[in-house]
Amino acid sequence: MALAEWERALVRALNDPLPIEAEPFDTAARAAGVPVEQALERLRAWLNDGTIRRIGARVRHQKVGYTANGMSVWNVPRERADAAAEIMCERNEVSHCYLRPTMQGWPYSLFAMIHGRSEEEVRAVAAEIAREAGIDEYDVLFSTEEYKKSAPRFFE
Amino acid sequence: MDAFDRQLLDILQQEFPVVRRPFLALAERLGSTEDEVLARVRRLCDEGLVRGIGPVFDLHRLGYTSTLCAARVAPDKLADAAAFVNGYVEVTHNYRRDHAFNLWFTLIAPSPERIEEILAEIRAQDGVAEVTSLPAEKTYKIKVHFSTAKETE
Repeated sequence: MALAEWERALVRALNDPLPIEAEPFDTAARAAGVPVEQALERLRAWLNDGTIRRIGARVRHQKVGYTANGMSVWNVPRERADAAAEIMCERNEVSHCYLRPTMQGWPYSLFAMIHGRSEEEVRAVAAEIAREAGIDEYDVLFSTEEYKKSAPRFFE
Repeated sequence: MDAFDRQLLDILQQEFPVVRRPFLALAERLGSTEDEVLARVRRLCDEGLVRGIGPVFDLHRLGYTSTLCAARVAPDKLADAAAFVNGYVEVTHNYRRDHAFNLWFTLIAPSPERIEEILAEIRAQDGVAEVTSLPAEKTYKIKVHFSTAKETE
């Protein structure tokens, strides 16, 4: 998708969080060199066509009790992946779900991030998914250390 | 965090109003005032519950490409390798996990060539035995919402 220079400037300005003030979009509009209503109209259009997935607050989930974050990984034959993924995605505890390539020493193709208030809770969700989807070979890898977690920065 | 904060946090995650004065719009929705909502949101940010408010772009629609990488790193070199990986602005998430593949990170870059360039540099690092890129073949779900509806103990 080819973006005009002002649109790239708008995206770039929005790499930083919105200031918490009465007219928070004004700064970004100014950086893009356009009237704020034009910037707002473009953001609404992007929300509409999926260029923007959502506009909202990024929450530090550990601070609202979701201290356990497990990367569940599943060995599923390709032809059953879609059906298995549907079962996983139905669950609110699953935030992300992807099909990826496998590699030597890693037979798992389906990845589902499961969030919960404890490791037990996360493992229990994985066990329920395993039962429902009929998958025997799976694992849940918890992040034992978070080295970095940042939002992407575009057009810099 | 009281009930008002919880309600505010839920709405803030999904439906930040795209209008000139969004906090006023939120206030009208919640039966409060613009000043009160601003104060509450500032506090949620100060307390570290909220990292920031902004758009989440679909990176592919902006012409970017992304991947998840799994690395096998010698345990005594892991901290240094992780710090090296962190140095790339293209790296957004970087975690240690309990597995032979003990370093997992995401890369977002303007081209597959840039991704390969970065991976080559990481592979050259001391203690890094293996790094494999596992780009998504299918994306089934990306929805991040942390409900505060239930009481935390």
